[in-house]
Amino acid sequence: MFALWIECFKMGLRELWRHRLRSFLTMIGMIMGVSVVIICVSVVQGVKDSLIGDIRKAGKNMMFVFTEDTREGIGTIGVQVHTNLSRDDAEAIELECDGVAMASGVQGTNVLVVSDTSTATAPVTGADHKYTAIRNWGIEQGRDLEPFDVIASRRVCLIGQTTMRDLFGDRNPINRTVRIGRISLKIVGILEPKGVNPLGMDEDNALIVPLPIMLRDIMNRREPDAILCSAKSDDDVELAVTQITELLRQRHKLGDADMNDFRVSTLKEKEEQARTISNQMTLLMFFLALVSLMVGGVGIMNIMLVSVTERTREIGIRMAIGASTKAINRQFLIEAGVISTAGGSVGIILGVSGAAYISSAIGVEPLMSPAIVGIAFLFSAGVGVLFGLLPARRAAGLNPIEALRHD
Amino acid sequence: MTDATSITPSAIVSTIDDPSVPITVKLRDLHKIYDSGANAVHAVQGLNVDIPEGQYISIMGASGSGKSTLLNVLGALDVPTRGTYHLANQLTSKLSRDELAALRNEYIGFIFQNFNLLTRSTAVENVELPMVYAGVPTRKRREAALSALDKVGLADRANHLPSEMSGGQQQRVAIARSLVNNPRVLLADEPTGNLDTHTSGEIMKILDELHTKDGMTIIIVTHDPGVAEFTERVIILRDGKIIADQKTPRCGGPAVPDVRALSMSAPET
Repeated sequence: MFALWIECFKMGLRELWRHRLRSFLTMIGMIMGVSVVIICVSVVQGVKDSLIGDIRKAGKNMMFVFTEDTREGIGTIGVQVHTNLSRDDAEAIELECDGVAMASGVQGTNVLVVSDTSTATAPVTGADHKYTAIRNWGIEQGRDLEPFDVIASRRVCLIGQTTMRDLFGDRNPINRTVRIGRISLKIVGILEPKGVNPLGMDEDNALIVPLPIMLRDIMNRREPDAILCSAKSDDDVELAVTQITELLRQRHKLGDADMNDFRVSTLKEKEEQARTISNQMTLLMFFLALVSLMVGGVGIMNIMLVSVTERTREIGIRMAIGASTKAINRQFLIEAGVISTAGGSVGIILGVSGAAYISSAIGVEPLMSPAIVGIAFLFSAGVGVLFGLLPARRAAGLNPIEALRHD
Repeated sequence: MTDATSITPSAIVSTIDDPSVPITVKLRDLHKIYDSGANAVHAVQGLNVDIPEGQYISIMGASGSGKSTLLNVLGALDVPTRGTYHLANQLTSKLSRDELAALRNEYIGFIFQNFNLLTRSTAVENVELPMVYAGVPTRKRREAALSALDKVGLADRANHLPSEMSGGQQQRVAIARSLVNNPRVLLADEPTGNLDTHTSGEIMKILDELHTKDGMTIIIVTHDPGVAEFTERVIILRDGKIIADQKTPRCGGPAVPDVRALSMSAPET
């Protein structure tokens, strides 16, 4: 019985080879379907991975506490001067929450920064000396902010790679000064390159200044909008969020009925979001690809039906000399299966190379899992067999006498 | 009988009158009715035929005589509506499609008027085909196919496609194909119908040899008296009934009538 399978397989291959062009054209549907599945899944998964990588890179188990306006009638659009958070809150979080390793008040704004030769608009962040540690951001040259810089409100700053290039070109900016409004700041350190964040913003376009300078001298306000925290470990993030929430509710003297006047958001949430969105995308792509596989399958069925009609005489001859219905059925089923798996295999090759090409074009590492390739292959074979059933049955059901007389 | 020059086939020793020879084909009260709605066509009406092993027999008849229907039943391509057909002591009338296929594969060798070779397969592949369905292993198959081709004198054409061969050569390939599974009966449907006189002679010579040397049971369906005269016995059908069952001149019988003339005259009378 096994021998008959092999014979049918050989005959199928020979038949397809004799109709090379037609076989190839029939395969195109499968090729498209399978390559699209592989390209989409691996690129989307690759994008997801790089997104999550970027999110993780943004900081160590990072959490943000933002002020949230609970007063009626006041929107959060525009410059928000009022804040519910304070530097004392940040200090309390760091001292009292065991899930939290570090906390720093942060305040950011976009301002015009002037050097001796150029001007540039840069996002300036006011923070304390723990900021670089929380952001997991190294110093390339010079020194980090020190506690004393913050306490004494010294007019110093750290500069990011992009801002440095914009303001100083190729010159070394260490110990040079930049000016924001009337305030002159001495550059004491250069931040390591950090790249583009998931929102597409250049993290290297940055200027870090001590928080008091930012609040008092640049923005003329008392307390920061946000507190940046880092949990002790990845597992502590949820605990830390609960602790921070409890502590701040207590410190802000909120009753049980009051809403939080702040919002805690974690990178883990963002990571989950990225994961969810990309998984949904993958699913969507998968269904689209499924449709194209089905279309490919119908194409195969169509050609196989034509082929059955065209080869009626051949089928008659085979039957006359002793082919059973099973043998005829199998022959056509195998032909359909071979077309679709061959198409699937070409699709896999195209898909893998296409995914590599597209990924490199958009700058992510494609995530190629053997499972996807395996599933795509099995799926293409399945589609061929499924859509080969009808033509095969039709071929096997022919009346040998009429088939022999057919021309 | 001494006037051998007037008839091409020579007189032969025949088993035709020997009652001890086992019967290969036995038809009893065979009917075939094609029921297409209102008007049923009674194509074959109560045939009783015994064909002993090794007999060389022709079945003649004009078109519409039931000749093709009988051929289909004898070839196990179709089952009779009524009556029985025993092939080598096997009752075939009640077999399923696949059982019939196996029977054709094992017991029957077909030779067709239009050769019916697979056009995109080489000669040797065509000859191998019955063995493919019989489950013969590849190597053995190739050997048997090549020796069958050798037997019909086409060993050098094994890898040619049918389109690269003459009609006579194609028919020889078909004969080789019909023989490879050592069938009990060879069924030839107008084997020379598409061939010129010279080539026809070649084909008839091969069939004659199969009969005399190998003792093959051969049934030729034809309307050509020249072909029928090669055989030992001729059955003539008309309107689904046997109107004559006689020895050929080769075996001392009367001259074979021209059924073409029969069909011509039929509408007039």
